[in-house]
Amino acid sequence: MHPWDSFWHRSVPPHALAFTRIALGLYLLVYAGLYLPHLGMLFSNEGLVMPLYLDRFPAFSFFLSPPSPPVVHIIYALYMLCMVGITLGFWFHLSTFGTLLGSLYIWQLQLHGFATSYNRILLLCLIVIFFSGAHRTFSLDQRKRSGSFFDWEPISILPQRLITLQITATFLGVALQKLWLPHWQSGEILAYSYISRWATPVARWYAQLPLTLRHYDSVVWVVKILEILCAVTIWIPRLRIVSILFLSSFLVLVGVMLSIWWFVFIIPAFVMFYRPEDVLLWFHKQWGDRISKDPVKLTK
Amino acid sequence: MNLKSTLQQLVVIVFIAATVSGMSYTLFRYKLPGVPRSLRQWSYGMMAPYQTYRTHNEGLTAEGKRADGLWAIINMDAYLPFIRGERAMRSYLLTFRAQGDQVLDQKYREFAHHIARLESDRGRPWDEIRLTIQEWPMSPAGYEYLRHDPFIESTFLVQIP
Repeated sequence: MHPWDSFWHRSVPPHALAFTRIALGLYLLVYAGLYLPHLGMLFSNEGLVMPLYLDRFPAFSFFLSPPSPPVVHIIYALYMLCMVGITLGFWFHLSTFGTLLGSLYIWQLQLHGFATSYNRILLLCLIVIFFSGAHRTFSLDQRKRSGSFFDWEPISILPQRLITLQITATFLGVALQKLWLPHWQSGEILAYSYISRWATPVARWYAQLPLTLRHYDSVVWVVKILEILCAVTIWIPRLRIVSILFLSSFLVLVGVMLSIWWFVFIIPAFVMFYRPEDVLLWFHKQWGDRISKDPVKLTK
Repeated sequence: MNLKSTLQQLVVIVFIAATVSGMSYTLFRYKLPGVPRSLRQWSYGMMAPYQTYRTHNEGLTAEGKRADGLWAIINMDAYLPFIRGERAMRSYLLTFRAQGDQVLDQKYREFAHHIARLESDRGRPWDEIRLTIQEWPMSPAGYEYLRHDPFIESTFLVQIP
């Protein structure tokens, strides 16, 4: 096989992607669940809602206007049901499509839209996963199809490559631009961030320690250099685990210190940097014959 | 080459074009010719968090005028149930801000009317409501530690009716 095709298009076991699908489904459930106590206020016509497209497309007001609180609760229940579907791999395409549609609907409805980097990456992941075959193992769909939750069928590696390369591009872009962005030339950005509106109590405690600006300078430079290095070394088998550990720690610290926790959904996706064949062998080693080394042979 | 294979190759090419374009814009503000703006901006948006910072705090503030003519701060915690940073970001009405000052002004008025309705529903009718952006110095002692006179500076946004 030509290296280009081998990299982008070869058939592989779906376990890494299925693992990511399950983690993503759980993450989405937590993310959406946090809004549950406030559905009426956030999405209904009795709350503080300013739909994004209603003024521009009044002819579609039936779809673009905020619904009543009971309707919001019904829509949201269906939306979260779709996330359960992603997690369990149940009616996977319908569930993923429903989650995508629900996310876009809620985004246009919700107070003043908040299209952040993680929202964009999340949306990209959902679109890619829709076409991916991530339900070809560890899923109720697969059980329905071949009789076992653990059976598997090969899928194209393309979706996995798209997500991993996007993660790489995000880390590289974020880190490289810090080399010359004016506000990233000293540790001041970190010191001020630790007492900003994003700061958590842990960050405020840290900011009260008797540390000099030189300390913050050092932390910023270490992060900048390691972010760039790890975005590359995560592709090198021997350095992969160290890179994953650093990048995961970085994302967790961003959450712990700056309350920007949403990027943690990237952490389980790091498994996709491993060869899918190796991920299958790992699962086989852990769970024995329950997970076959060979794909299931469908009778039909 | 079948249709599926052709589509997959196309996806790869579009992805590479979008990512290279997003990267070149992120790093050098160079717009790669031939790549649609929407693709570039989408990719750029995935590489562009936390480019800058502030050296002061600021927040959207709603005040209501009481019957005795005095202004009081309206607690908007129940209306904006987000963590502090997210709440502040949403308060900028970024998606409407991008549509120009006129739309932004109109949307802040709409916002103020929503606050008036929500307050009235809770038995707190106000004669007038105004929105301002308050700025105050940061402090390691706490986010709102210096949010009081004489440290506050207010920028007027809108007032209703």
